[in-house]
Amino acid sequence: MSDLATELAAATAAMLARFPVDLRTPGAESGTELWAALLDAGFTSVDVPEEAGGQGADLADALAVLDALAGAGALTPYAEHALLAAWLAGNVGHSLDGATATVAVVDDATVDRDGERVRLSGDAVGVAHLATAEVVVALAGTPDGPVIAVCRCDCPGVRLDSGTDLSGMSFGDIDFEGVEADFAAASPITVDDLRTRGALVYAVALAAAARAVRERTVRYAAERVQFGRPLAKFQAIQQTLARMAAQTTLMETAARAATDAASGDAVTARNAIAAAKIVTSRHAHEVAAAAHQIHGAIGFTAEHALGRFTTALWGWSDRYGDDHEWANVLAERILDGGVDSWDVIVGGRDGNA
Amino acid sequence: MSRGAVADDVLHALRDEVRTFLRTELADGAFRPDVDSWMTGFDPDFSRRLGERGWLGLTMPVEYGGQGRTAVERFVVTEELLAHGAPVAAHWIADRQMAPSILANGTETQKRRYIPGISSGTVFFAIGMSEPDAGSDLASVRTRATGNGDTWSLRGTKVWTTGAHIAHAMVLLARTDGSTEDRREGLSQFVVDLPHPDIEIRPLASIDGEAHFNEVIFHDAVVDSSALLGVRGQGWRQVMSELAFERSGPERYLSTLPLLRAWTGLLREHGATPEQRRTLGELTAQAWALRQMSLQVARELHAGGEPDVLAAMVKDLGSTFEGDLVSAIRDASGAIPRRTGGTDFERMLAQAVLHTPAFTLRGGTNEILRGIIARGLGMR
Repeated sequence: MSDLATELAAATAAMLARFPVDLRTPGAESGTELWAALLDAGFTSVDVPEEAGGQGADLADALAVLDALAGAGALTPYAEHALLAAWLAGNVGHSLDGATATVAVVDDATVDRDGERVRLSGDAVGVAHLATAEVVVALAGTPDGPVIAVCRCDCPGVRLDSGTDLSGMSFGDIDFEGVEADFAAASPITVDDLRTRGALVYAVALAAAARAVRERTVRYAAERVQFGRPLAKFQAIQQTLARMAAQTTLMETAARAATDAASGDAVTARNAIAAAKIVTSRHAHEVAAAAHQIHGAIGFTAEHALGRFTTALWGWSDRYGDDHEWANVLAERILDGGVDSWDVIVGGRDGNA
Repeated sequence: MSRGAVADDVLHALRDEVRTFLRTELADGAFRPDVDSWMTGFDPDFSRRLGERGWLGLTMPVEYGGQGRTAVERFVVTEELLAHGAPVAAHWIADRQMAPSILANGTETQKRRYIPGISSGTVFFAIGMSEPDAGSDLASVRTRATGNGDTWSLRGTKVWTTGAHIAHAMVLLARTDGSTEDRREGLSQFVVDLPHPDIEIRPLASIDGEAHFNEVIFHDAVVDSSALLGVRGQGWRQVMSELAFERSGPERYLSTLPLLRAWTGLLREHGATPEQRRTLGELTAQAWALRQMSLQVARELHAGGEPDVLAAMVKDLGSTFEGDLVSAIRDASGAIPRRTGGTDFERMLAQAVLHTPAFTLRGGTNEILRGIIARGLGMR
């Protein structure tokens, strides 16, 4: 981690101590005080260019904040707002000016230009945190190339189909029906670029959630006494927990390596991110299962903290492509792109070795 | 192996050099890619050719015939050899752990005697640790070394001794003091030259029809007092530090990778179903992540750390992956393994299936390794 990343992680931890997270599941959006503090501190635009009102730091620095939040079980729109929406808008020089945003990919969009006005039509499926968002930053795929459109959520023509995800957070679809955008510009970011970045973001979040699960489960096994001794003293429990710890470490290693690769050559970065999302998504389910097995029935009660992290592991493995989707991306590189699977494994940069 | 210690272009050039060499060897028919080639691929001439190119004893000091290079450079060379299924078994144990062990614990005479030969790919080693009654429970070894002034007399039996029948020397863990009740105390290591008139080496055939390992019986075999390796009574500690090198290297997740590459070739040729594509992508991703974790261990070892827990994790996940890869490819390809006859792919598949039980046993069973991880988590 860079010095800045370490500082940001520590500062985020301090905020979390000030505004404790309610860890019941299904959850509600973490207190607005925490979100306000993150906005105030400028932590929600860490790697947004300075000319768009951001801090101009690196993606890895922003991911350090996300890691701290996800590891603490805070339910905030940090991933969608700070790492995707603000970054997307910032890439075309637009600042969100303190409005809380989410991000939506509209694959087959229609963008009509009517003088100065730009109207967006199309569907976005699987949008997180849409109920709390004031604006949505849409990346619209059009025959003329991708367009970034920033729309207010209360604008006429924005139809929200809002439900909740496994953690209880707002999650649903948005139907844009000729919505007049507050801002629109041709996007230098493609839909694939955004999905790749989203996959990295959620790989990091999954690793952070897995780390929390491991720590909590080790602690629980040491404290919980059954048959006259702590669970941790039973070999069967030790074996399960050791496996889970190893899988968690693999997830953390994958997320870190993909973060490192993200600042380098684009092809290598995409391969690394694909691999990291596959590994974190696959092992997320095994880690969650082992944690629940060791916690016993208490672990799936609403008031127990474990559910906050395991519902995240189950839900986030699907965000921005699940393991199957990214496995297809790697297979494409290997079978259609003619790249040796071994080259993908080694990565393009020996400095990474 | 701190980052930046070796420039990227140096590593890149080294990797290219090794790949060019391997391509030429393959084109010349000098070897046929094998699964688990660090166990199965015994080819002294190939080892010598690697030695001539300066790719063995890479991290050994130049004064002992080594190359004086870094652990990351060794990592690059070994992973390329394994991924190509090259026949590296002859020198593997000598280069991987005997050279570093002798460098760390040996006398000046032992260093000068063995390290140059290891580095030139002409001196091969075997390791005598396990015994008929001491498999994973290494501290209960009973082979005894009795000191007689200028000599030691060795009595006992070692088992699963890979390559003893072709090795020029073996390292032996024996009890010099106390009894088996003393467990980790009173053990010492010896370097014993082979063959020896009073050391009987019997091949142990395994289910693949090959005899990679042996039972080695010491009939009061007398060796010179200079055969002691390191400090009398410190054998356990010396063996444990050797194991850190043994447990986390690329051979703990790449043993079956040649099968993946062979299968990829078939998919390119004949086309792939969506399920096959998914399997290919998933296996590639898992190998990528395991490699990152193994590199992390190598970095920590190089920085003087003791990443025992991380090394145990690499071996637990890596060796499980080696077997998972075989099942996944078997399922997805629908191919039927053939031990002999058939295509190269069918032969490699058979080799892989028959070797799978060994992956999670050798170098400490995965249950033992999880015990080490549990201890690291503060559970024991």
